[in-house]
Amino acid sequence: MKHSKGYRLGRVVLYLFAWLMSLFILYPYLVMLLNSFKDLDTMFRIPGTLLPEIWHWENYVNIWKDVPLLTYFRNSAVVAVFGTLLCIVCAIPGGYALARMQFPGKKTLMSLVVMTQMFSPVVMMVGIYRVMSAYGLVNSLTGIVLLVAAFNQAFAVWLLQGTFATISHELEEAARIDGCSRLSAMIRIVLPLAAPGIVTAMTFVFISGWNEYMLSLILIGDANLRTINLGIRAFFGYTGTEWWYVFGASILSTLPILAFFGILQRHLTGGLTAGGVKG
Amino acid sequence: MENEAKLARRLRRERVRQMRAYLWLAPMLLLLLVFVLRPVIEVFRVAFSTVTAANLVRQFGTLDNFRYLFAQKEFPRVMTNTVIWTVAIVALSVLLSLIAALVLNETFKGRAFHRTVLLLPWATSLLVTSAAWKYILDYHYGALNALLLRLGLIKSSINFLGSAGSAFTWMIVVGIIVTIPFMTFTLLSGLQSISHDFYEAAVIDGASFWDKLFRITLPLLRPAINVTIVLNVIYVFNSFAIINTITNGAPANKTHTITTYLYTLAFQKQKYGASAALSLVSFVVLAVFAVLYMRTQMKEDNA
Amino acid sequence: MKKLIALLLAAAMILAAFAGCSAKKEGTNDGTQQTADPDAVQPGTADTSEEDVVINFLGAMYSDKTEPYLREVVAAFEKENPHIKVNLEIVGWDNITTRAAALVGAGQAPDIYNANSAAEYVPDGLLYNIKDIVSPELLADFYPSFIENNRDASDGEAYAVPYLASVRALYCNEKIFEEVGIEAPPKTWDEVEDVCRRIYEFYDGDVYPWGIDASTTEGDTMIAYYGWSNGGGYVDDDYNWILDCPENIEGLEWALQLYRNGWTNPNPTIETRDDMQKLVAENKLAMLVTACFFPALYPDTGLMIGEIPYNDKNVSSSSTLGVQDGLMIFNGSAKGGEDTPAKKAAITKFLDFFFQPEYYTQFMINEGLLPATQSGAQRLAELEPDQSAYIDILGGARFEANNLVEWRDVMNALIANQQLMFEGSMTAQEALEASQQATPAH
Repeated sequence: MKHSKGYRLGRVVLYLFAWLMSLFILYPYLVMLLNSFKDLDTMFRIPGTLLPEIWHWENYVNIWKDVPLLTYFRNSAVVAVFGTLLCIVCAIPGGYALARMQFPGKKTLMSLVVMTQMFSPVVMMVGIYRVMSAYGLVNSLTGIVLLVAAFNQAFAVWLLQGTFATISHELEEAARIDGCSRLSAMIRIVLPLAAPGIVTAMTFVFISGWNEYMLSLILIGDANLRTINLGIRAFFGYTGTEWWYVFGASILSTLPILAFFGILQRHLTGGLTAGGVKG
Repeated sequence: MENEAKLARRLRRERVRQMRAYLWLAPMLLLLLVFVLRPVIEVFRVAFSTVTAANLVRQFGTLDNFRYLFAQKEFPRVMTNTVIWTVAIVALSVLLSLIAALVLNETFKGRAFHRTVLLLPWATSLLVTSAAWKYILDYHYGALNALLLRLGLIKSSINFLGSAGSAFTWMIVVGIIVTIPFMTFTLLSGLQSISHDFYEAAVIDGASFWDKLFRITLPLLRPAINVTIVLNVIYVFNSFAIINTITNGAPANKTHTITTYLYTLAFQKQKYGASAALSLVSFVVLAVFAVLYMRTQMKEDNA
Repeated sequence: MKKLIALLLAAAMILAAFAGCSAKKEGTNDGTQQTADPDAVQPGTADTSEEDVVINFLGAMYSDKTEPYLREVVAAFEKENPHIKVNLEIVGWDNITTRAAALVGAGQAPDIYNANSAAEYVPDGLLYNIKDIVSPELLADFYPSFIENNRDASDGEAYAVPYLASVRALYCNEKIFEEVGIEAPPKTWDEVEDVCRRIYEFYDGDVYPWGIDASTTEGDTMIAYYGWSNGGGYVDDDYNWILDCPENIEGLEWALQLYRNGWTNPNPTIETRDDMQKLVAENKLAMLVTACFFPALYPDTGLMIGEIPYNDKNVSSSSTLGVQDGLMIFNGSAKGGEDTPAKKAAITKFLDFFFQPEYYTQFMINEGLLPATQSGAQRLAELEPDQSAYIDILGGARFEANNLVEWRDVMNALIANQQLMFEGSMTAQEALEASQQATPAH
């Protein structure tokens, strides 16, 4: 096939855009990576420096030695994994009921769910602390897990009801005629079909759990319960912050999660579609 | 007689079925009521109470917190900033993400790489990314000035964060860069759901690239675009880390949005009551947005 | 239906397992729990210390050495007092007020809280009067001026245990001064102007002669640096605010003129003390008034130390700004129940232990800060003779009026107005008059 002039121009624009976009997104990471090898003196040289003068590879050894990254990592993983599981376990029946069942107050409920999406934890930190301390859930990861599940619930339900709504009734009804209960029909027929949507919802909740900061800041006091963000952010705010600690630790903490996403990537793109169509 | 009994039985069955629906909804409702709605009620209580500087809630039934809030010199600026912040970031990000999604939906060399790059920001805390940007934009030792100087694009350093206007603009740029990955993914998945049949038919009809874009792709992508807009208006409106880390409202409280301002009110100025009052104001703003949005949606759907 | 229930049960079980695991962690921190045998109890103290007591200590992170060192001190204390457990929580300055507000608001205040002002907790009666919780011996060891500065403006009682202090001084970059040919730090405003002009002309504007921090970090010190040095100040002797007095106006105008001449750092409203210390270390900024721990942070930078310059037309000597942080000891009303006598005794004991020179002075040396106790200062003078010069200055230092309950409100107004002044939308007079409007008398 002979390519027209317009086609070739289009390809050039396409490549250009793709690379520019990646460059902008990668740029801060590149800066972090390079600076994690610098000493503080080089980092704050005037005018600024691009590359480290001496590559301090030992910075990473020091980070590993001085920062209990594994503990932080474990705590963040606990918050993200259990928060995601709890969130999704509650959102699946909720989303299913909203998509498939008729009941009074459905419209109101649906808009209420969307409304709760608007409440950001930052906006009500003081209230959250009071309530959580009344529940006795202060200074425990369980409290954070429950909050992560709750504050992402609306999004997950919303996404899942969209997914469920696109799955045809017929298969499910056929199964029910064959004697399956509603629940087993859902588990056997609907859930597998909704898998991409579920994976997407889980990924987003996972990300938000992994990045959670505000809630753990006010609720976690014990040093052993610090999440990665809390641990890294502890370095901010005093004179002489060792920035290479912050940047190096961030990069190290990014790696496992990036690997995880890399594996998931194939499933990721499919899922939002379903939610999108019905949005 | 018989009909009535049948009707009653059907009604009963109907009610049982409805009850069952609530059973399915119960876990979700429980989470939302216990962990979201309770704190919201708490915010209401605090907003209408006298709160001391030590954060003790004393007397319910006062409008003083709202009076204090509205009397603040910076309040109007905070509100307009919030609108500019949200609209600018969401609008520009939608535009750029749409192009990005169209690009990444093509097959070309390096596509897998670019898609992986999009995942990176999700794995890093926004707090740290914001700190990196603060360092990048610094006037004296910043990495961006160093780069531009080295490339010979500028003769002397640019004072990116020097004035309120310039700082706010640059923070919007950062906001756009961190918003694009999430949006692009949403839109990309929308694009992938569009059946190839549409395009094949169009090619037979001799449609141009633009015809395909405006007649097929965009109309079919509209639901996905809508989802992205709603979600991101909420996310961007509530975004905190960028401004809090880079300027925290300086100079003279001119670069705050509602979220960072209410954090400052509570934890730097010890005005917990006014901060709760501002939380309510922000609920109202978002609710107005939601209503407007739903109304236009309905109108479009009916048309 | 069964499966749904099973699913929920499973989720509940996971959570329960979880709650168990984190609940266990709360009591027993890092292996230092009270498993010690009863023989370890010292007989003389048995009457109050039989009971197991937990003290919660919320402290600020001064540097990355703070947490490891305080953990050592706490471990040593717990070893000596097996019935007392100290829960140490160290939080960065960025976050500590957030954390404290959450805890106090929920009635779960820490026992000991390290902050820079007690004023917001006094009106609610949440703090111990320090004479009720600090042992007489320790109380007598604190510098009297420190306790005086902590006295609440309303009732004359002290509600904060002096924790540590720093003083401010003028630091001049030796290399720049040498290159330009300036011998000594300037003493008066006229000398400052002269030095600024010479440095500016020598480097053709490439080096900033004078550093100003009007950001939210240090903007409150502008009145100390440019008001006191001209005969003005925050309050008069009776604690009436005098922000818009002519001396302050003239002082701020003088600072503003330095900025307008291009003799200062370019962004005083956002560049903080920390930023400017880096500029000095990079030979980009010649003079900066900052805290005494600055040299310790940049040991390789040659610095000349002088007093904060003053206007010799109006005053005859320099005024040094001292800054002290305190330990607030929350009483029962902030913690949902009165402290038992054993708890009170434990807190007293911990404070006695903490302020022993062998621990306390090492802490000060680590951080480059100055002790609040005379025994600590003595020890510091022995160990670090260089630092003793600061201790002498400290005796004559003046403090900000942060024992006033409205202090924070007024300072927030002042800082915002000063920033408007640097932006050019207010004159010095307008900025100070607007700030005075924010004081309670109005």
